[in-house]
This record gives sequence, C-alpha cells and structure tokens, in this order.
Amino acid sequence: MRYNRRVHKTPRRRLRSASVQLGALTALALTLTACDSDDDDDCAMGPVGGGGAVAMALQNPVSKTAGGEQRGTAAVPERGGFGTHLASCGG
Amino acid sequence: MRREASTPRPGWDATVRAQGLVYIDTELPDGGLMSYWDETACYRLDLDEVLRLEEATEELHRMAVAAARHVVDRRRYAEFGIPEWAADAVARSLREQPPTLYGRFDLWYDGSWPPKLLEYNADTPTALVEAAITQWYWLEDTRAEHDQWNGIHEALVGAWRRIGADLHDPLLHVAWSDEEETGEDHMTAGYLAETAHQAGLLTELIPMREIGWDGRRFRDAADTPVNTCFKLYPWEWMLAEPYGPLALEPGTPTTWIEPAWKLLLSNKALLAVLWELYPGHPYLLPAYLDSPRSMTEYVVKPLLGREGASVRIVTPAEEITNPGIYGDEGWCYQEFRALPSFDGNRLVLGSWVVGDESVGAGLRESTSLITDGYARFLPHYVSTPKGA
Repeated sequence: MRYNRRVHKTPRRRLRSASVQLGALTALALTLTACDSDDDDDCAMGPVGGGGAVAMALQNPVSKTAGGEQRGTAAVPERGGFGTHLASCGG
Repeated sequence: MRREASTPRPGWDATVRAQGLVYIDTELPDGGLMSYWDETACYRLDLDEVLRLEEATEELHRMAVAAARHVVDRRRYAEFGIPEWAADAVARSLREQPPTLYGRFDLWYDGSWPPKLLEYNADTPTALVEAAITQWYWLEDTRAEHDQWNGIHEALVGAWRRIGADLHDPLLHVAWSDEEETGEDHMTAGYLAETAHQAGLLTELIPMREIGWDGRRFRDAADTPVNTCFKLYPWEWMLAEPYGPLALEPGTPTTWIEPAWKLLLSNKALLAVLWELYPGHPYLLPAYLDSPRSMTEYVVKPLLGREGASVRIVTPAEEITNPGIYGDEGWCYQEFRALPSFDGNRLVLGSWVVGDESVGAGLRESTSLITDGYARFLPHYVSTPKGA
C-alpha cells in the first residue's frame, strides 16, 4: 500500500529529451547533400577538406620512428596511418 | 508493442534530410532506391514495457562489462581474435576506466517477455541520428501529446559535460572514416561533435586519414595535438593499421573514446562468454564459440561482422546466407530466434546506452530474417501522454 501511494504521488518520468537542438547539424547536412549531387571529388573529403594532405602523406609514407619495434611499428607514416579500411564502419 | 499505419508528413523527405538524415536513399540490388526512413507506419509501446526494457538493457550492460572483466582476468583474448601484443593495453583500459560514451544493444523483442540479446554494438554504433533526432522531431510534428523512449540527445550532452569536466584540454577531436560513402558516418560524427559542443567542449571534425604522428603524439591536419579523440572507427581496424600499436602505447597522450576495452563488447564472442557466465539467463540465447553443439537451429555470426554481412542462418529446413567479407577472425554460434514479424516486417529493437544508463530506442525493420543494409528505420511513440 505504501508503495502504491508513493507511485501515485510521483510525477511520471519523462522518457524523451526535453529539447533537441540541431545546431551545426543542419549546415553539415546541407553540405553533404550538396556534395552528394556534385561530381567534384574534393567533396569526398567532406567540408573539412584535407584531400591534398592525405595525398601528400600517401606519397611520403615513412618518415618518423616510433617505439614498440617488437610490434612492427619501427617506422610509421607521418600521416594516414589510420582510416585506410575500405568498408563502412557502421555498427 | 504494436505496429500502426501512419500518415507521412508533407515534405517529410526534405525535412528529415535537413535534420541530418542525408543517407536515407538505400540502393537496391536492381538499381532502384528505397527510403531508409519509413514513416508510413510506426510502433506504439506501452510505458510499462519501456520501463522493463530499460531495466533489461541496464542489466545486460552490467553483465557485458562483467564478461569483459572475465575475459581480461582469464586472458581469453585469442578467442576474441585480439592479438597478444594488444592484450595489456586492453586490460589497462578496462582497469583505468577512461571515458566511455555510448553503445547500442540489438534485441529480439516481440512485445512478450523476455527480450533476447542479439548483439552489443558498443564501439562504433550508428543508426544514432535517426534515433536521437529524426524520430524526436517526428513525434513533435505528429504526436506531441505522447512520449517517446528517446532521451538520447539529452544523455549524450550530459555525458560529454561529465567527460569534459575531467579534460585538461577542452578540445575534442571527432574522427570518422571518409571512406564511408553514404554520409552516415560523417553525419553521426558530426552529430556527436554537436552534442559535445552543446556540452561546452571545443570540437574538431577530422577524417581518420588526416590524423598524423609526429614521433611522440598524434596531431590533426593543422598540427594541433589530438589529446582526446572520439573515433567512429572500430578498434579492430585501428589495430590492423600502422598507427594501431601507437594508439595503445601507454606513453601516447591521446585518450580514445570509445576506449580499447570496448572492443571486447562489440565482438560476437561476447555472446558465448555471456552464456557461459550466465547460463539460462532469460535475456540471453545459447551461444558457443567452438561449434553449434546440440543446437539444430542456429545463426553463425562472424566475430567482427557488421550490418549482417557474412551471417548464416541454419535450420533443418534451410540455410540462409548473407554475403560478406567477414569470418577469418572466427565465428560465434548463437541459437536461432526468428526476428518477430509485424505485418510481415521483421523487427529488431536497438536499445541505446549512454554511460551505463538505458536512454532510448530505435526500431529497424527488414524483409529478411537478417537485419542488413536494406533495413528501414521506423519511428515509435509511447502511448501514455506526456506528464500523465
């Protein structure tokens, strides 16, 4: 009985977010939508760009030495050492 | 829970795209297009069942973390396909408890009790924008008097606020794979960056390929140190790439979100370990790593598979195989439980976790028994009016 009284007196918890602000998401969506209808390959890098930097890194892949040589990391690229997997990373 | 027909909003397509769902066009094998977002129908859930599903989700999360501790304590890394050189870093990550943000359970649930765990995407879960944003606005536009199991946005902002309070450098890099062509990963990363921004953090979106190494630390394209990085990029891919060992080095001053131990949760071997630790648990299906054992109906899942690829369903009557590239890393055999059918559509319930809390759901339908890249996302509402 005490439990039931308490339930009746407690306002029900709201399950959903009180507000959802899109912020910069709309601008990003517009940019990606524009890129999707554009054949310009530069768009593939998204609005932050960087295609040039990646291309340079791939041309000069080995320039820095790092620790952990026993793990096969004696030499690693200056840039581009992540992100080469081709498939989607969606969960 | 039940499926209801619903009248789409005028201009819904442009609306959801402007809200971030730019990846709604699914190309079919015949070259046609199908919309991933579907508001011709929706699901109605009762408050009581949502509260029970919340409890189930949090119990599953606790069990999953306990299973991860078990794997580390017993050094069962090989069963997860984790290289021995990464083991100490994974153990350290679990022990030190660096920040963790989110995860998504995929549950079998037909409205009866109990739900059953199908998998836990705890490293790089997507289907986030549609769950947190698109369906939230759909409810505002169509059923504002009702509630929705969707506190995802608020929870993410709150989690970032807590994470940010412990950071020396308020700059958060949010990295994604620009190899992913639909825009889903880019939008998901952009959305997470936005939630961090709303929590007061400075954010920088960066393709994973633009991360560089200067011999001591990771840097972005502008040579700014990457001290804290949310990466929408699986750990198993990172470990296989040149920077993988560096990312795990104790001396590397980058905090990765999600942390390395999360790769234990997003691995299908977790399903077998859970069954071993909690045999007969009502939320679990029998699962094994060595073989299907005595099961006559089972699903063969690649340990590191994604989006239903390389999954095989075996029953006495037939075998259904989804093509894919996964499986070299090993397999998990899980008892087959046909996805529930609602008006001929196969449903999987995605139950979101932020931190350690259950915070919302996203529902996806498929025509096949395997939820894959041809699934559709349907909004839902909770039938008790707001504030009741």
